[in-house]
Amino acid sequence: MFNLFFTHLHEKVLLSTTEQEQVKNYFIPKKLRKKQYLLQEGDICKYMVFVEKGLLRSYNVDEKGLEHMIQFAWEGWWIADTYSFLSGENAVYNIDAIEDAELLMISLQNFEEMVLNVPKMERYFRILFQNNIVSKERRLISSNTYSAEEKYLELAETQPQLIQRIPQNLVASYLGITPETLSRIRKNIAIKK
Amino acid sequence: MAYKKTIAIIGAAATLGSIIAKGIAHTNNRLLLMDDGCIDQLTNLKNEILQLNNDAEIELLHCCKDASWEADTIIVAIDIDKHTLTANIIKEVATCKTIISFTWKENPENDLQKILVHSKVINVVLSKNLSTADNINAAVFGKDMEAMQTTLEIIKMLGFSCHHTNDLLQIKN
Repeated sequence: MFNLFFTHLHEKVLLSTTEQEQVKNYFIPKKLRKKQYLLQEGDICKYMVFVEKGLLRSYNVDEKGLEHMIQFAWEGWWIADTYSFLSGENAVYNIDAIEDAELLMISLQNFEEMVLNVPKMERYFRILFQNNIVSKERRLISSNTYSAEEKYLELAETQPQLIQRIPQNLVASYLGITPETLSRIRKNIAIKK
Repeated sequence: MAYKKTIAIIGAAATLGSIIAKGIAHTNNRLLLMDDGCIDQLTNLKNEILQLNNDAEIELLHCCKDASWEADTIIVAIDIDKHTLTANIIKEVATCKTIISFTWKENPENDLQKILVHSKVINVVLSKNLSTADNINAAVFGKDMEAMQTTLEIIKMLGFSCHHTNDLLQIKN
């Protein structure tokens, strides 16, 4: 249940067996089926979630009812509406399962206790948040300055699994382009090859 | 739109489990019904609930570990002598979850909480109300306030009279 979690963790910090047992006690193990919600807009995001198995997405819905993908999270990724999780304010994201999923969820109170009692976890999350800032900055640059084709090529290079695993209409939404544009780009790239 | 909670009921085929399942099936919750080797009774119970409320979301599961893993809240409505066995099976997947134990008599041993150290166990001891034929009294004991809140909401849905709550917590635990 915690196999991938500790493998992922040990790439950044090494925990003793005692520390691992301590850490396990802060997490809620939870199974989610395809299409089930973990969080709905307007609720408070009570948990930060690690994906052991399966695939989740976070997205917001505009006034016209269109979904805009914010993040995908598969094995080894974390997902949450971070602002809502930290502030206790209502979430602006929805999070649901694209595939059946096995999750490890931690509340803010348990998170704070855990990083106090197992300081190595603070280092782990510091590295995680640093990486997250870098990737958010890159996505902002991509979104503001790249053409649709450049956005797609960058994504294919940096996150090939996303292109292969996620349905194409969701990839298009993640890039902020229409499914038709994405289809045209993929066709052009195939011809050039 | 409110988040739909998943509630597992372990021991759903017996009288008490069925009362609980029927009592909370009309709410915005997803139910996972489980009872050892009683799949026929569970199927009947599911059909009975669906006849009353076609929109109820109900699944039958064979294993209490799977049911507990998928659930946000776990209701245990089985004989006290099966508590130790069940607690050991679900231990790994019940960390930090609310577990509500419904029994007809007090269990001073509190085996569930002893084994499920990192879960929030609330004990609900039921008794028949002698003044009204169909009413049931519920005495509630537990430490965690959030779990207590969830339990009181469920007791309210079930229509039980709740007589003892936090004032007894310190004494009982």
